[in-house]
Amino acid sequence: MTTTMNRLPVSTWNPLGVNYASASAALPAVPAAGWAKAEALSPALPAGVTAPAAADFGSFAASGMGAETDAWLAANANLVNHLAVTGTADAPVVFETALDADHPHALTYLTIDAAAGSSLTVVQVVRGDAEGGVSANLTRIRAAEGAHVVLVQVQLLGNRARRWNAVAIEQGTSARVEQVRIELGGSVVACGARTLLNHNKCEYDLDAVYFGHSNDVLDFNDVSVHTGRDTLCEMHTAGVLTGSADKILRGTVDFQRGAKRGVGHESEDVLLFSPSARNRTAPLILCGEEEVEGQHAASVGRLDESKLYYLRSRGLSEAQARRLMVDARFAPAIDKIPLDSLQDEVRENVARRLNDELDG
Amino acid sequence: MRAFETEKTEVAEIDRSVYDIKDKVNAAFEVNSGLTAEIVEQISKEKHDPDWMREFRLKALDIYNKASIPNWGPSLEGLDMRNIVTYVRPNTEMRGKWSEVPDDIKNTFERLGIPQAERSSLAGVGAQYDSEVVYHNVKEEVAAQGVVYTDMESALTGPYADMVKEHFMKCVPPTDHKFAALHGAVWSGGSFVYVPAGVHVDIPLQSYFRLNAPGAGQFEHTLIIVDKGAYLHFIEGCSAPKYNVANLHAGCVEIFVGEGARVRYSTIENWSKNMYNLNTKRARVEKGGTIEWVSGSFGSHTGCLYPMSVLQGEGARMEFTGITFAGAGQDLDTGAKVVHAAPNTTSHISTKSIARDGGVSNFRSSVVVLPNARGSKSSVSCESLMLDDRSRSDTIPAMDIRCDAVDVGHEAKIGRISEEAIFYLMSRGMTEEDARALIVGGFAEPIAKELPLEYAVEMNNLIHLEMKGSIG
Repeated sequence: MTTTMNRLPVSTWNPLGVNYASASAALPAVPAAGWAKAEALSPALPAGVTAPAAADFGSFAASGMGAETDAWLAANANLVNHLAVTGTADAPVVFETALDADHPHALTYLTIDAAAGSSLTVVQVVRGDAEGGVSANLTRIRAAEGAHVVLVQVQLLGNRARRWNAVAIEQGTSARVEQVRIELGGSVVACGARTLLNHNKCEYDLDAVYFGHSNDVLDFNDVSVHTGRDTLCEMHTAGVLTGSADKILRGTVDFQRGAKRGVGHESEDVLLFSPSARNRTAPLILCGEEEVEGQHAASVGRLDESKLYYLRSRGLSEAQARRLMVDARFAPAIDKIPLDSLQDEVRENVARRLNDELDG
Repeated sequence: MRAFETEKTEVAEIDRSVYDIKDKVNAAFEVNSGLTAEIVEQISKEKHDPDWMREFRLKALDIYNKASIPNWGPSLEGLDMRNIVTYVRPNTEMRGKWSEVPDDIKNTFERLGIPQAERSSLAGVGAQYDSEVVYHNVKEEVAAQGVVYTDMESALTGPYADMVKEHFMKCVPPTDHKFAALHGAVWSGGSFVYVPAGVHVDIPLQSYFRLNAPGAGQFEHTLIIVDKGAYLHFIEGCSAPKYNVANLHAGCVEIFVGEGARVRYSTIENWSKNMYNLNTKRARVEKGGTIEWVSGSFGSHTGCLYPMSVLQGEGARMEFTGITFAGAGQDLDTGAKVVHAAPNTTSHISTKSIARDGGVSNFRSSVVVLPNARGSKSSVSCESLMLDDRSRSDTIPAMDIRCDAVDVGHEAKIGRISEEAIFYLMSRGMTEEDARALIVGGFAEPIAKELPLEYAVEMNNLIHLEMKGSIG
C-alpha cells in the first residue's frame, strides 16, 4: 500500500532520501485471502486493570508513522486489545505473540487508557519467523493527569518477517510515559513514535535500540511535540549496523510557541560493523519558543580502536570486547525490561547476532 | 558604564541608511522583466558571448523551465520571475581606474568604504553594479606573481578563455537545482581568479556586489581556480537599497582548490530586506587541499545559502564557520553541505543562529560520507539563540554515512539568553539592552575572530544595530 510514512516534520534536501520512508518500507499488501487468523491475546491482568471490549480513541493524535498509516494499521488489525487502568498495577501486562507458518500475520491494535494518577507497565513481545511474516503494531496511549505508563516493546523476529510499529501518545498534566523499543530482527523494520506533551509538566522518555544486518531496511521517525509548560523529553537511541543494512533515524523535538521551560534531549549512537552498511540520521530541533533548552547529539562510526586495544590487552578476545561495548550501549534500554527472563533473552539474542556477524 | 555608553554612541553612528541610499536608475540597457528564450538571447547578444556560452544559456533555460521550485525550505511565493528584470547594464564600461568610474556609482561604493578598503587591506577589488562589473583592479605586485583577477566577461574571451570554458558550471551544473539553472541562463558579471601553483596571496581579494535597480536580479558568477600549493583569501560583500518589490540574487560561486592548496572564502551578506537570496556556492577540493568558508548572513528577506564542499582528493579538508541573524520579516535558511568522496578527508561545520523580532533563522546541513572515504572525520556543531517567543529557529541537520571506518559527530543546542547573566550585567550598571547586545556579541565571537578585522568590526556593528530596540 502506498502512504507517506514516517514523514520528517520539516522536509530537507530530497536526494538525501530522509523526508519519508522509502518504498521498500511500504506497508504490506493485504493477501488475497486476507490476513491469517491470529491466536487471541489474553494476558493476565493485575488488579486495577481491565480489558474493555471497546475504547474511544477515535480522534486520537497521530503516531510518528502518520495518521494514514495509523488508520491502515487499525483497520487491518487481527488482534485488538484495550486496556484501562485506574490504580497502580502491581505487575506488568504482558502480550506475547509468535509468528510461525500457521500464524504468519500478527497485526495488533492496542489502546491503553490510564486514568488520573494511575500506573501501568505493558510489555509487548513478538518472536518467531515465517515466510511472508508480518508483525504490525499500533499502540495508542492516553495518560491522564499524573498517570505513569511504561511501554516496553521487544521484537525478536527472524529475518523473513517484516515489522511495522506505530506508537501515539497523548499526555495530561504531569503525566509520564516511558517507552522502551527494542527492534532486533526483521528484514524490514519501520517504527514511528509521537507524543503530544500538550499539558504542563508532562514527560516522555524513549530508550530505543536496533540491530540491522544483511540487507535489512530500518526506518524510524520519533517526534516529541511540546506545547505545555515545563515539559521534558529524553529520546535516546543506540544501534548496530552490519552487512548491507540501510537505516534512517529521524528524531524531532518540536518546541511550539508557549512551551515555556520545555526541555528536550535526543541522541543517537550508531556502531558500524560493515563497510557496506548505510546510516542516515536526521535529528531535528524545531523551536518557536524562546524559553526552552534543546539538545541533540549523534555519533556514528566504528568502535573506538583505542578502547578495543585496551580491552584486548586485559585478556578479552576481540569478539568479547565488541560484545562488551555493544552491551554498554544497549544497557539503558535492556535494563528497563521489567522481566528478568526477557532481559536475558534479549541479551542472548544480541550476543547471538553479534557472534553470527563476527564469525562471518 | 561610561565606556559602554561611548561604544554605543559609535554603534549609533553605524546606520543602515548607508546601504539604503538609492541611486537614480540610469541604466544604459535593460531587458524586459520575465524570462523567455528571447530575453536570454538578448542578454547573450548584449554580452557578446561566444557561441558555446549562448548555447549553454539556452540549455540552462530549458532545464529551468522543467525544474520544480524546491518542496522544502522557506516559501518563495513572493518571488515572481515574471516581475524580475534579469539584466540591467549600468551606464558605464568596466574601468581599471577608480577615477574613471561615473560619479554616482563611485559615490555609492565610496559610501560603502570599498576604495578605502582596497587602499588599506586588499590585494585587489572588483565592484559590480547591477548586472555588470564597473571596476576591477589588482595590485601590481600581486599581478606580477601571475595572479589573474578580472571580470568574468573579460575572462570569457581573453587568454584564459579555455580555462573558463573547462570549469564554468562544472562544479555547480545547471541541473543542480532550479535557481542554478536560472543562473546558467542569465548570469552576468562576477569575477575570475586564477592563482598559479605555489603562489601565496598574502592579502585578500574582494568583490563587492551592489544591486541598485528595483525589481532586478543579480546573477554574478565567481570562478576561482587555485592551483597546487597556492593560497588565496577571497572576500565577498553585497548590499542593496530596500525597495517594496522583490529583488533576486541568484549568484554562483565555483571554487577549484588544487592539490595542497588552501582557499578561504569570506562573506558578509547584507542584502536589503526585500531580497530573495538564492545563491549557490561550491568548492571541489583536491588531495591535501583545504577550503574554509566564513559566512555572515544578516540581510535579505528570504535566504537559502548552503556552501557545499566536495572533498574529492585524499586528505582534503573543509571548515565552515557561519553566523545568521534574522530579524523582523526575515526567513533565513542557512548552513552547509559536505561530501566526503575520498579517504582521510575532514570536515568541521560550526554555526551560530540568532532569531529575534519575529525573524526565522534556520540551520540546515548535510554530511555525506561515500563508501571510499575510509578514515574520514566530520563534526557538526550548531547553536541557536532565540531572543523572543515570536521568532523561530529550526535545526535541520542530516547525515548519510556509507562507510564504517569513519568518525562522525554532531551536536546542536538551542536556548535563550540566561536571565542570570543579564541580571549580573545589569547589576554592574548596564542597561538590559546593552547586556543583551554584549551577550549576543559574545555568542557570535567565535565567528568574528575568523574574519579580517575590518569585517569583524562590521559584523559586530551589524549585531549591535540589529539588537537596538530588542527590549520590549
